Amino acid sequence: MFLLFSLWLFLTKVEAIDLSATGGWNETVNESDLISGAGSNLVDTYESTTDATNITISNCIGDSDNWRVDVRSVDDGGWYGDFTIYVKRTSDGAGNGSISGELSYIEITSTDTQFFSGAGDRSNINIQYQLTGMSINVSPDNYNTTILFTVVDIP
Amino acid sequence: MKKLVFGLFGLGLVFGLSGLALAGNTAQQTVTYQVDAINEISVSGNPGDLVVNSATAGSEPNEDTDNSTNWAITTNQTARKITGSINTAMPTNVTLEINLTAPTGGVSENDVSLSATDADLVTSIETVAESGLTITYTLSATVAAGVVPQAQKTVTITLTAE
Repeated sequence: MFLLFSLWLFLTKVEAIDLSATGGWNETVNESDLISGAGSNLVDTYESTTDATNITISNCIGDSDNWRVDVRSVDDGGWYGDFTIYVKRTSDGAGNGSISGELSYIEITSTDTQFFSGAGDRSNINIQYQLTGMSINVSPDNYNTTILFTVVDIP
Repeated sequence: MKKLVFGLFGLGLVFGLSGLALAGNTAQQTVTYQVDAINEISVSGNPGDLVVNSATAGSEPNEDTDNSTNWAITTNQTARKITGSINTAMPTNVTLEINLTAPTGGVSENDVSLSATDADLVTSIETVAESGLTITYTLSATVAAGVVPQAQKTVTITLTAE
């Protein structure tokens, strides 16, 4: 009896909220990004499309199952030190629950920062990125960083 | 009693596992930036006519100078230089010189005679974005050149690797 109870408990409670993310951001900086041609510097700030990343929250236990999404970056050594990257939510997505927070840019750092929160399943939440710190002092190369989105179930 | 203790332990273990599973779910995205090599130069326009038409008796004709134009450069690379040439050679005993003011960190070769072969004008250029750098042209001719009809030359300056 105990084993059955334990199994039921496990099967019901282990259904963690899921987060999936699609998309990403690729940007090429070249001479067309000079502020005013030869003699000028590169534009400092770049923005992705408003739907560069699409996030879906699923597997909630009802529309009042509260959650929050944290964001952080992981530098695998391929990032330029003077770059700063920001993120914001540009849509509410769809779903019967709710969503709130961060319609303005927040800086992505190497530690988890609360991005937005909500309740219930939510699909097609659009995310936009912004990068600052570009200049001609950045050597020609490829630079990349990994952005981690984590959904946390809020009791 | 022994059975009850075992049961509580088992329950705690299940709750513990559930708690771990509920801690969060992560997805990752990659942001990639590619910065291309940027090597841009420009000039402000054409200089005025250069005319040699006077001399001090006993000396070679006076040279004519124009510094009404300037140049600009943006490069995100290092170890660059500027070379210059004209489309066809100058007439015998007539010389066209160019002098480019160097951007910060660069070294001007000062007055350089232009020919159909590229010559270094500015060297040791590092990452830089500067404009309004003066271009000075000087036309000179010796008496041996005689009278030379008006002509045009196309000056090409090139930003290249050293």
